[in-house]
Amino acid sequence: MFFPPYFLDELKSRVGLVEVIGRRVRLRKKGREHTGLCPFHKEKTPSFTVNEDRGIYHCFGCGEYGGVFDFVMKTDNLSFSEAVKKLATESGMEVPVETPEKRQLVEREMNVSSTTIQSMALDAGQSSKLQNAFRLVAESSDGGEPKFTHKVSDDLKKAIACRTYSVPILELCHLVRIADACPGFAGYLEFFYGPGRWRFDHNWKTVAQSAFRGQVTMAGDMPSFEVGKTWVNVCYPDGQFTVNFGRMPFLSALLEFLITALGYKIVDETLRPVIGQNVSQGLVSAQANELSKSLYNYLKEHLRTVQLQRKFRRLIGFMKQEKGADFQLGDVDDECIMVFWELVSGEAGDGGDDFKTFTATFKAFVRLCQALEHASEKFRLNHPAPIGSDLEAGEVDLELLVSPTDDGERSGSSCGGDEWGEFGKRLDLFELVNEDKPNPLLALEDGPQAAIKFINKREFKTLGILLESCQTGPGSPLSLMRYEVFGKGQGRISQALRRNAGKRELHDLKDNCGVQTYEEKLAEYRELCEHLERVLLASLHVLLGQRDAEALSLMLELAPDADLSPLKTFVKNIAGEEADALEGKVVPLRPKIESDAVFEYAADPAGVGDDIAGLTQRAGEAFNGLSRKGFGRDDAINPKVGEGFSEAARHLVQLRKVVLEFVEKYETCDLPEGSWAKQFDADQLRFAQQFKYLYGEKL
Amino acid sequence: MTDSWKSLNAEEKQAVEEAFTALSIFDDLGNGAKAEDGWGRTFGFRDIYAFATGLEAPTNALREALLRDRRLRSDLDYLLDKVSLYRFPKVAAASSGAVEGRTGENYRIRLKVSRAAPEQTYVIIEFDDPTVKVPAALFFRKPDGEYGVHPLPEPKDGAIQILADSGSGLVTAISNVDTEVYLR
Repeated sequence: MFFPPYFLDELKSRVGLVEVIGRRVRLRKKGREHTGLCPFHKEKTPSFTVNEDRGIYHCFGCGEYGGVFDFVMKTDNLSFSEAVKKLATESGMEVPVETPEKRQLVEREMNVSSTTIQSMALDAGQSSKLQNAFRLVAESSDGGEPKFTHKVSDDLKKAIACRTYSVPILELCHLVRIADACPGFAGYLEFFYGPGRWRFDHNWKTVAQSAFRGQVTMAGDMPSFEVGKTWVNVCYPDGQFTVNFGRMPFLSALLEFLITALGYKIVDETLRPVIGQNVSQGLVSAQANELSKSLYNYLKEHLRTVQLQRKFRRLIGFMKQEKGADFQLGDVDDECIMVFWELVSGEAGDGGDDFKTFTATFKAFVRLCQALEHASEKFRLNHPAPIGSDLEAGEVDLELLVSPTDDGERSGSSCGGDEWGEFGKRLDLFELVNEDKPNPLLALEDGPQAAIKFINKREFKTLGILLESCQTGPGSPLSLMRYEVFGKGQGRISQALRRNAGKRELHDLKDNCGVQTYEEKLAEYRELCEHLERVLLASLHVLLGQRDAEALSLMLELAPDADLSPLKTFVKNIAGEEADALEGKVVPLRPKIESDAVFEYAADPAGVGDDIAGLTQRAGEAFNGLSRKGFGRDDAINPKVGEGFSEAARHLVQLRKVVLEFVEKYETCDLPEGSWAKQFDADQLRFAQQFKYLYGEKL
Repeated sequence: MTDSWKSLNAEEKQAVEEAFTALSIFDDLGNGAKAEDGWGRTFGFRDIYAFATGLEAPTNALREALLRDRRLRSDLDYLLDKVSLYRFPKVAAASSGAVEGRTGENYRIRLKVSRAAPEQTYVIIEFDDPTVKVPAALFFRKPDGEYGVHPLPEPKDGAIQILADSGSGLVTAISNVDTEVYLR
């Protein structure tokens, strides 16, 4: 029997734990809890407590504990579904009708959701195996260089989180066939694992093209493989399948993950049949299905679905309690996050485990906001509405109706069918974590721009959380500041506890729990902004030098108020009337502007005017002042590096915009304490109090 | 979200929960990079592949990882089977528990104590068929789960000959009936 989470959530909130237990046990209110004689063992002094807020009971005498359904199951000797039905009838709620689809969902989910709290603890251990499998893939290196970019690792996580791995596994099976036949490699393992195979600037296209160059392998009368500029085509007696080079890093990471998670023996035994002669496309599909099933079973065992459902319900329950059942996305604010953390982090049991750290709580709220936003978009799509960009007015954004593509490439079978229907069902979620817009941070690691060190690890991390929380999440920057300043302070306390630090040190860490002040943190953001500007200026220097049209867009971006009239006049002379478009400071006349003459003119201070001359001079200085990879003198004239700068420019512009917007928000934010300095002092006290409560100095 | 939680229907509420779960799994998976497993670095297939296809002895850390991780061991055994030219299985127990060599299809290993220096033993690998592939390394797996590798020199007159201490890991491993030996 399947009970949707929202139904169980609603039922629990209706029946009331104290009311249900109170029918069997005489309870007395004691502070925030109720106590009574335990119904599960004989006793004279009450050791049985019920906490309505947390929705659990616990006996300190015999150790029995659980929620309302556990109580009814145990006292009435009922199964889970019988207990739910009983409570639903008592509270006048209609049990949702079971459908075959829902049954299927249950069979998948209920195995997990019926587990006890003890098994959840085990679950956590199992999950760390899954995390370790990811860690191994993410940390793979070849010749000291990371093998996979953040984007590839993220794509892999998305495929697992959204369970959209079936199609990639099919692609992988075809790629394994290609890899095994690849000249110069002793079998598919060497193709994927052999040393030095990745030292081609992380470019699979180069790897595959060099391996297959000029090759059309024959099997009987039929060519087995065809190699194009961006793809390899595998031919079978019953069809063909195309694998794009662009997919290879991801598929390689997927193979590493499968081998790490499932074991080499299982993976190899499943893949072996797709290698060699007389293989049909049907057989490859069948083996891919097998591998998908194995992964499905593995994930069923290792994903912390139950814990996440519990977290979700806790957040929704809290929002309903705080803001009412009709709460909206905008109701998730800084105070709400703070109050929730203060309330839940100190709990013994699930709540405390799930939300002990402020960082975990903040991230959970950000994810809740994103999930609500997602449902809201889905809601709009499900209900006819006018097309437009005014979402507040209920209009539907047309872009949301467009299916995402993988950079215009999608591997696939020419004799596809409905066998991958599951992919369609999961597409919504894939879109959700895939986001409509490419992540500018990850885009910097993809393609030719990957060879240039625009940002370092620390900057990457700071920008990552900024992007996440600014796109969806609580509107004001206060929670993010708390996350960065006091969340990290909590991490410092945890580390000190792990190394058994002395009482005095711990006390000091709790009292001075902010790792820096809000102003100091802001200074870091400003510094980051300046760095991004420097990088953009340096990019401009390279792009101007290499006569790249992107330079002019960048020029406008970096100096929006610059006097462009000398350049405009010059361009007008060579481009005619089309140059009028420059009036609006847009550059749609790229083909004309690409003329070398424009670049020569732009570099001439006498003709171009002070603004542009100053900008080009600053660009040169910025380039010379950066000593990171890709910013050397030779790089500036290397066309391949120039391509990287050209590709990266718009992503860097976007990142700089995000930081600038955040800094602006910070400066104009309305704070409960009036100023950031006072807010820091007040927050320091508040966090210190909670840390003392959490880590041993109960007040 | 312009709509309130209350206004969402059951399907939409479920969509929110599914989305939250997917996003949280995504975050959880990333947390592995910071997870402390108590053993320091985690070893995976990449490490055993490097060992099974290379000539270097496993590091102490990899050795420990293999001893404590049954799955890693089983993957290595399977991999050695795949990449090796020949695997000499465990041999029937001799009364002493030790043997003076191994005999397999096309390949033979003999242990011969040096007459000149009895504390040293010759490990001789012979080929019945001169056209078979010449192994470049000898791997062994002791019954206690310890793995070792020994690079092999070029053959001379149809045989590879190594002189090793009689108490060395290589000689004791080959002579132990419970050790599996691989030529790669």
